[in-house]
Amino acid sequence: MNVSLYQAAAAMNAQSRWQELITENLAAGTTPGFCKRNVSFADVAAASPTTMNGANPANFMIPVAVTSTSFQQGQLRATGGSLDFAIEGSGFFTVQLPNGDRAYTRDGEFQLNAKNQLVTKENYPVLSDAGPVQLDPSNPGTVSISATGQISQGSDVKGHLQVATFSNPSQLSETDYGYLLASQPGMTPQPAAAGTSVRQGFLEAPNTSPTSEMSGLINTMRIYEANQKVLQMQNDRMGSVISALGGTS
Amino acid sequence: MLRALYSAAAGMESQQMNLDVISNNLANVNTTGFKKSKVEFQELLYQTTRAPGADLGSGNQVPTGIQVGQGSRPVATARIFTNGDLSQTGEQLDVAVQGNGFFEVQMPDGSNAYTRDGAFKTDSNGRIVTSDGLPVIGGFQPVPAGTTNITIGSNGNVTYTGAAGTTTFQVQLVRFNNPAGLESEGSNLYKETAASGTPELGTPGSNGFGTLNQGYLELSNVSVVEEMVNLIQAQRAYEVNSKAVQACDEMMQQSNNLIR
Repeated sequence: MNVSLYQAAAAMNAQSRWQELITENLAAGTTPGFCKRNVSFADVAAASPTTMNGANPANFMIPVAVTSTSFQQGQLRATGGSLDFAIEGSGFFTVQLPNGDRAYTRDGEFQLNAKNQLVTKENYPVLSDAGPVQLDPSNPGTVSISATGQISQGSDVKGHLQVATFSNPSQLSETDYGYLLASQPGMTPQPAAAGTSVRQGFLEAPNTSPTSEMSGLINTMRIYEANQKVLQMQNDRMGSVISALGGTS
Repeated sequence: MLRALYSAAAGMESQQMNLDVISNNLANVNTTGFKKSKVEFQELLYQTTRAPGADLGSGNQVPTGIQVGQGSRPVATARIFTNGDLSQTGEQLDVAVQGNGFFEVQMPDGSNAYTRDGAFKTDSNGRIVTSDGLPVIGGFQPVPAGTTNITIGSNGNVTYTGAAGTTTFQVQLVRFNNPAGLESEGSNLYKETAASGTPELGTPGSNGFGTLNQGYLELSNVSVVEEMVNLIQAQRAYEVNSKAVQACDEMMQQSNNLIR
């Protein structure tokens, strides 16, 4: 049984998983509030070799790729849109899914629906401390938001936008359209910390860096190639052993 | 091999921030009272394979050692507070500071901010305000109705003459121990931080404070030629780092091709 074949195959699997994440990061383009995926490699024990005299040498290890999301602040891009909001600091906007659950997002590109409520691009209402944000169509005042999230239309205060933080955002799970759910037990949304502010007229660019993604891509391709060479060499070796020793003549 | 890849990538990221700062300077070449920024770089930690000065036995030490760096990173964006040129506008309420000193304005939340932008206006109550409507404090009194002439002396002595009579008062400027430590708020405003030191009030023209010039505005201190030269340097540094990445890639390819 040739363990190195499986080690090389596992390494190629892990590297191709990394390449998938790089592609996902690069494909994000200018999606507002996109949080990049990070990869880390863990060693998993594949097989435990035994020797004739019962000594215990080290296990054979294979790499496994583990995905995580990076919630670093992305750059703020000025758009000038009155309903474009960006969070500066840690925190998420709270929206309501059609099934009544709460979801969280950093994407602040909002619109008004037919009922004059503040909604996301997928028509999910954005929640304030007192339910969906309801604006008044007859009020000619412009919509403005303060740094603490208080929405006003002209001089009328319409509500306080709910900006939630979590002590362990890596436990958030992802659902359709990139919204995050706090489905793990013990995940309670806390009000945003004092330094977090909401900026109007800005959108948060994805926190990916094309330069580091490209150098990661070079890295993963070359490691993939090196492991492929190992696989090929093992294959050739087994083939020559079989043909040299297995021939019946 | 992989260390070269990450060092070069770190170099490219540094030059990207350099380019961001240069573009901001160029975008603000006509902003009143703008002070240019410059990025300062720092090398990253060194990985020591053989420590210099380590004992080799028999009384000998390692003379130089092996230490390889990991790239560079930006460590500060320093604001350069040199004086900008003065441009004559002839407006009564346009004031330029020549030398040290900031005007003090009051933010809507009650805190103080500081600015070099002296393009002042009056609001409906006669208060002296900035172009954003923030009241200017530091001694400025509201302009009474019927005032025909406002004179601002270089030592801060302001006189209003008009139908309501003559009013004279003194205005003061603010300066800091470390103006580069001020926090930029945008909108030509700066805020005090622990690094800038406490604001010190003073009369213009005395004790090292700058003088006031009525009818002038202070232009931005950005020099387009200098920024273009910095731009060329940043671009070529980015290119040279990308060559290092490509060379690293080719070398990894060569090592992979040892097995045919």
